[in-house]
Amino acid sequence: MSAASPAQRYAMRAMRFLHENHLEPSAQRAIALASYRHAQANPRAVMHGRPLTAEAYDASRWIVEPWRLFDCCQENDGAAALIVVPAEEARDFRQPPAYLLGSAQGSEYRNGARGHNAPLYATSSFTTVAPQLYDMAGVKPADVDVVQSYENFTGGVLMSLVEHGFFTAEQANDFLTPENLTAPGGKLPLNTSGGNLAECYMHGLELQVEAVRQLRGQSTAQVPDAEVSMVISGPMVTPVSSMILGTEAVL
Amino acid sequence: MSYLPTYLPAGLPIPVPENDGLDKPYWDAARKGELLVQRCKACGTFQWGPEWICHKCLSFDIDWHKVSGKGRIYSWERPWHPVHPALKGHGPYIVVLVELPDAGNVRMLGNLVGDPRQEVHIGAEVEVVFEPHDDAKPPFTLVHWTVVGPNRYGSTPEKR
Repeated sequence: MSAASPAQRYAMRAMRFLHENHLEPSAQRAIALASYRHAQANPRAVMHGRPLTAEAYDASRWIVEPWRLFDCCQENDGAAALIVVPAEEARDFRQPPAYLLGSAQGSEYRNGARGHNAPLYATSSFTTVAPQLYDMAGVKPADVDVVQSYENFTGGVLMSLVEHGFFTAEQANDFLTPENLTAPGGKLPLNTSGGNLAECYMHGLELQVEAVRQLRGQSTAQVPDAEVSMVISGPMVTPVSSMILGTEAVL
Repeated sequence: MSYLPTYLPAGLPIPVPENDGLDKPYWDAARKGELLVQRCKACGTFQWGPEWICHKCLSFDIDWHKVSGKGRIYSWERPWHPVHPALKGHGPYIVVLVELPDAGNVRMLGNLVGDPRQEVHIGAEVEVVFEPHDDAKPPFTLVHWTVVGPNRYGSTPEKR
């Protein structure tokens, strides 16, 4: 019996990445803690009123090493929606529009090779996608004000942030602290609604909706003056995709 | 140390070759205590899992190649949460991703036999262990791995 659930399938990739880059458990933990902090400000979040401490994270049961209970997303029923229209029509809507600056989809060579045989194995699969995304959007990682990164599991977020150029794998132990990832003052506010870990699990739309809220100033964990808002979707699969949204001011 | 006759408890789904027959040579060889991977006759590329064409040169002329059964741990994980009713109450077990240096470093998934709480080291040398299920219908043989050397059945940390 091997790699029989989604967590087991992807933990194998994450374990290799953690090993290659000498990453500490605190790096993954920070991603979970940031989501739970943001959920405390979000009355819609399933985990609103149920804060998570580092001690409770460390004491939680293993699902599959290297992932504990709080490294794994929830399961929910629910709904979310986006309305996509041409930019000139969006100006007539009641809400301020979020403009799509760029989007990219793909993965590396043989990323989906059978039986865990992808040549580049320890990856969230964004190594070729992220450069295309930045090219299309005409922005750099330093221009991004706030990030929503799909957390099926924390290790996937860790690799996604590295591959989108926010810090290197060597810097991950130092960069990934709850403070750096928490709005409003963190260097890289992450999953500001609570995300899949602590808000709810609305698959491919929840994080996109939150990215739009940030540009409208309507998030419950608002980043001041957010102009460029990124969404990174499900990591470690083939293919993957990500997109960058912006306010009218950055067009 | 005592062992179940099998690494994991009875009641798990049994593996059978796919209807298209692509992986049947692997399962047939495992019954005989041999480990096979694919190798392209045209360009010599090793391939795992089985495919109809060579991923490198796209030739359809692919053969099966017997490997030594020596490998090293490329990655690993320790499932605790039971994802099948037969695993309820069983406790943790270890899944390893093993690369085969004598077969182009193709990787194979399997269980690491021995103490399920042993420390696991990426890069450790392992060798194949065959676990026959002769009474199953149809009979099959699982391919497991074990650490080579003095820690053959795994060193146990003082506490976990």
